[in-house]
Amino acid sequence: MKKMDKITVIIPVHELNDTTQELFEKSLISVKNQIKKADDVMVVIPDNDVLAKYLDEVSDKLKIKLNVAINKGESDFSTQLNYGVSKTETKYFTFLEYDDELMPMHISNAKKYINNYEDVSLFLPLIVNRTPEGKSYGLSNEPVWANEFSDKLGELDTECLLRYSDFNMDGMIMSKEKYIALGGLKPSIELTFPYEFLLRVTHNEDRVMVIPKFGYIHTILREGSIFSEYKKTLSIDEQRWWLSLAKKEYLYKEDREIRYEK
Amino acid sequence: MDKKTENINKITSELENKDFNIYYFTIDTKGNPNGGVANQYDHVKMLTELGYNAHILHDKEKYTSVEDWLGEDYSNLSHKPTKNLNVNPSDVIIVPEVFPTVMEQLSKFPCKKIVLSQSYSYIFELLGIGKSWNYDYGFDEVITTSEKQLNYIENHFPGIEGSIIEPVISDLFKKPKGDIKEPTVGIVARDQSDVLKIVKSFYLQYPMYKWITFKDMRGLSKAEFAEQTNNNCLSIWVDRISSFGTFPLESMKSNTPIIGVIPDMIPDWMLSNEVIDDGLVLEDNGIWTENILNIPSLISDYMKLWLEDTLPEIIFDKMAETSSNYTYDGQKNKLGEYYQEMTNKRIESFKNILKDEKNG
Repeated sequence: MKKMDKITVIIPVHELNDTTQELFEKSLISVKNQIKKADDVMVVIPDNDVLAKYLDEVSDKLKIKLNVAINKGESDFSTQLNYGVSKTETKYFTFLEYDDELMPMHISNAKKYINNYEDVSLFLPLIVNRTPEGKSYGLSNEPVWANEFSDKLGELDTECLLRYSDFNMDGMIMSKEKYIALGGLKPSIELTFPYEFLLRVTHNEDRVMVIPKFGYIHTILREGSIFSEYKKTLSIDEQRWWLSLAKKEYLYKEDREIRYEK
Repeated sequence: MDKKTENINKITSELENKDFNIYYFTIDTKGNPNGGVANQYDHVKMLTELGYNAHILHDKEKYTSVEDWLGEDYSNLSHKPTKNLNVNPSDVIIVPEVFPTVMEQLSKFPCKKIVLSQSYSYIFELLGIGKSWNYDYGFDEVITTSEKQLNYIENHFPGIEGSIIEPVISDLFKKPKGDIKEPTVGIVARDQSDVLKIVKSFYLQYPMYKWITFKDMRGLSKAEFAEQTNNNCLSIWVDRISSFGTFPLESMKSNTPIIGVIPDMIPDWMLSNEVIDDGLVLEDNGIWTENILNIPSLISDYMKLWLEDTLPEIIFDKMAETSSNYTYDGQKNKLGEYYQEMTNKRIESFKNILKDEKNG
């Protein structure tokens, strides 16, 4: 039997308060409860002693070994994730937002699919969305399994992404090498950086498959989360502008200075 | 040596040397897949491999090849038209239960005549009132596919000799690579309106699953059907008049769980040996219901467990156990034993005729 490739779970964190600490600990517990364990759990933080100390304590408290990567640069999500991937020592990685959770079979299914679909560059899980109050709020990434939604059942392609942008890359599984080769996330792109990345992957003719199993639990529009802040601070016009920008920028691997102007 | 003795010696020699023909009367499905016909082809293939002169017998001169849906291994078997057919006393003709008119036409033929009854619900469709396979047409034996069906036949045709030879569940049905399934559901129903009822009801009641694809399994070749079943995460089966239940067993062999309506004649493999309060207990090899209206909610419950990877292991264990009983080699042995025993009896019977003659 082929040896299973190793996977790191990367959790980018830029700050934690009492509320978000509680959510973060639930995240860690979901990593700990994986049926097949992650080979490494990396928390990426800015240069912050308080946060580093907290991570030591929580690692002891929950009895989970954490590999803490301190990013002295910008602390936006994209930069944090790019940094985490660059420091990863396993072939594959997945990432977890600190206020979300992994379903118990996420790593197990990731390894199974990596093993059986060697030509697929990026796997996305089926995401179960819920409100901060815990109410169910539908799924994400499932449309590719609908008949004739995309060219190949279960897989994303550029054409369907350009028609339908509502895909979520949370919990994605990819090889470090491929992620870096494609240029990673672009910190200059606000709001639609995950969408732009997915377009860039498919445009490069890399296969993107949605694993048809519940892999990730996402809390939508939690007060204080990056996307809830975007929704609050960005006008509708600006949101549309970022969407339109993503549909142009994906043709280029390199990031560039971008600023919204009315 | 007198002519009668000579003829009987010739017959017994042909029987002893497998030098007789076995004809399976088969309808022309015009290229459309058909489970009963597939089973007949399996019989002819197995018998050919066992050294018998087995043939597909058809009443049309131009018979549509089965290559497209069964493959070359089957289309290359011996095919003979009924026109100008010479049937010898040592030969055997097998006719499906749905053709009493053919049985009547063959009733004067001096050969061994056997009914192949795969679907009890067709027995009386064309059979005249009061007519009997054995007493009126000389078909004194039947091959059928389950105990219950045999009991049913024996109740209606007393004195008929019956044997059970179940269909083969092909090796094409198997776990896919990595046992990775797709969120697709294969649906097989005798009545197409049941398919629409189930699918439409499911999507309306459970819109969060509107992305689940239902695959209509009709019209697929055997290989395509097997591949799709192997990849599906679930099979749905609605066939109240089924006699054997080939599709659920194929699904089990593919490691694809099945939700099905319990047929009027419960298949042998669906019943556990356990009895509770004089009631029958169904095996845990599938999700069974008496009411088709339950199926959409059962699909919803199942899909949640499947998506979460929390399906109980017992279903898979029981599925593997049930489907392991119908292998090609196993059924070929059974068929071989049946024909050998039947041939031996015939030889003995002919020899007894000579003995009786001799003893005056």
